[in-house]
Amino acid sequence: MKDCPRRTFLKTMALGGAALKLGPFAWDALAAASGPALSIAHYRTSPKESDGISEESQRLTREAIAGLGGMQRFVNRGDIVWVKPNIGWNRRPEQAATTNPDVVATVIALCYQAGARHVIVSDNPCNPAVTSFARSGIQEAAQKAGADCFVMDDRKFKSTKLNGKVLPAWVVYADVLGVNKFINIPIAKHHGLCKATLGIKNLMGLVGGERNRFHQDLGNTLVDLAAFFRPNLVVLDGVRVLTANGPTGGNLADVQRRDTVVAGVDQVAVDSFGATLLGLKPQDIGYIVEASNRKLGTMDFESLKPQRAEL
Amino acid sequence: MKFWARRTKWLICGLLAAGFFSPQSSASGGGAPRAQSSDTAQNHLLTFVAAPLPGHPTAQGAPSFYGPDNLYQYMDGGADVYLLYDFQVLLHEDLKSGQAELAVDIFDMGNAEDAFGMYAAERAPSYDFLDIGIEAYRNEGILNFLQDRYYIKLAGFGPGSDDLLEKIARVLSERIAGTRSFPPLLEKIPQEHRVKHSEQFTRKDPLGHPFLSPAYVVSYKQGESESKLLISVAKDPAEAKTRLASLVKYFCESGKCEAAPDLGDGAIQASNTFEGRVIAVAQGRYLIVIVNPANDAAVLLKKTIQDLK
Repeated sequence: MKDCPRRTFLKTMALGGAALKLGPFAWDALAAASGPALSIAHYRTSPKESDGISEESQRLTREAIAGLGGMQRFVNRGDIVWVKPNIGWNRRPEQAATTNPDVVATVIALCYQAGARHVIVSDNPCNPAVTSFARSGIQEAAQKAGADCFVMDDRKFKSTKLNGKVLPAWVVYADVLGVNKFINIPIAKHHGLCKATLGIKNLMGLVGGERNRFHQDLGNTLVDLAAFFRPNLVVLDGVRVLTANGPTGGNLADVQRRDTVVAGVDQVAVDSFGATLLGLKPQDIGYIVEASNRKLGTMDFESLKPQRAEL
Repeated sequence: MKFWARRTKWLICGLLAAGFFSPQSSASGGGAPRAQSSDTAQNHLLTFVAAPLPGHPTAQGAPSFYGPDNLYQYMDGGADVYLLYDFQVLLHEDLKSGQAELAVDIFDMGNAEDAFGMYAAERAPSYDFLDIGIEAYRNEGILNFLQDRYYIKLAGFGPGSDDLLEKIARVLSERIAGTRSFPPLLEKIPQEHRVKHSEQFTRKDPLGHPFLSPAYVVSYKQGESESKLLISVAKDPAEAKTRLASLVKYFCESGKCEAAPDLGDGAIQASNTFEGRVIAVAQGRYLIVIVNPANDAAVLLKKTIQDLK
């Protein structure tokens, strides 16, 4: 996939193929070149009631993406879009272990408004998939927004050449390689091992196999995934943030409001800002440093002159 | 001037270190018994969740078990901390009673000390505690408790689940039986000014130093001043002194360190910009360290020495 020449990519595009066998990496540079790279939307108030939080999450998501120039910058008519939230846990949205369903639903709605033909939402969770999809509220929200949200089929994980520094190949969910747009929607939360789960860490939900082996060199393996799955867009949910006992969480006492949604085309910059939501510096997180060293993006997110919206 | 200051610093370090390496009689540091074989442990766990349980819940599928090799599949990076505490077996079962859905996780940590360490790593003094097992806390939708060598985590969803969690937790506690007290060392050390529910047992790098492992850490608060009492558990007095020597070496290199005979035989006081100020002394097979000592920390140190004799 990574070896696919750009000429082939353009030729295939010219033929009008919607579901390209190219993978999402090729779109990254096109999107990044045409507008702001980072957008941060923040709510001045912290609504307590669920309707208020829902409205806040939707507005923040719309504003963050508008700050980049709108979803039409990333999604074209006829696109098939893979949306990847964190659905890894049997947790309710308030427990902030999984992506806020209103953020996910808003992204889906914006994709369709931009002309997407089909939006797919899925993840390879740690906890039992059926329960996690339902409990997180994401399955219901995604389906209401018109997306196809399904539990991954074990038979569709295929060994795929990644050409990574430590992962020459790994088992990847094949369908995600068949779409032509990829949007990563992580939640910002504490992680016992790597300090923070953000966008790059969320990419682990696209692969299968013995993922525990990643922990032998977590920094490099995550960055190998980030180098392969270069999202067209990252939308980071920082409305509720799990500040301790992540990634599983569960205790509402560990959840704090940050009332923020970040959108960006530079996955390193998005994660670097996300680290600050957890009281960390980007330099504190090994995989962010490694991704920066490999020039996948910048830790100095301020250098991108982020668009900021205070609502 | 600088030369003499540096020489003096290293001289003090050398003298302190030399004293700590003097031969001592060894004491038993035997480890706690481990769990049984995997099958036996799994069958034992099943007896805890056997029907009847309060609310007569029905199992939503067969219970699942995880061991050290595949815990990651269940809890991703959360598994690493459990493995650090020598996790043995996890029983996971989903239950349903009326509209309430429950997830039961029982972690067999192999021994009571590691179970305490894992439980304590996930709790904070500000939580809402209740009297189940050795210690328990709850919040909306969760109830976690510690008992014997088990760390039990219950999650509930839907109407009535919180009440049911507590009832089921009490039944599980009765069935588990075994030890219902904290590790003995925590019962020995001073209670006065101790921050409730602040006790920790750290297997890896207490204060960032591998040579201090394992250690108990407890917070003490007087007015606005909060100190941490760290008790590094060595296998014998000689090793405790070696650990103190390592601490001395570290502070000599990163800040300053000097003997503090008024605090006890072989005691030191030290500081650097990272840890701040510490006082420390070896007592038997323990290295006692107070981080950010309050004005009367000498009282806490001496009382701890006395209590650990």
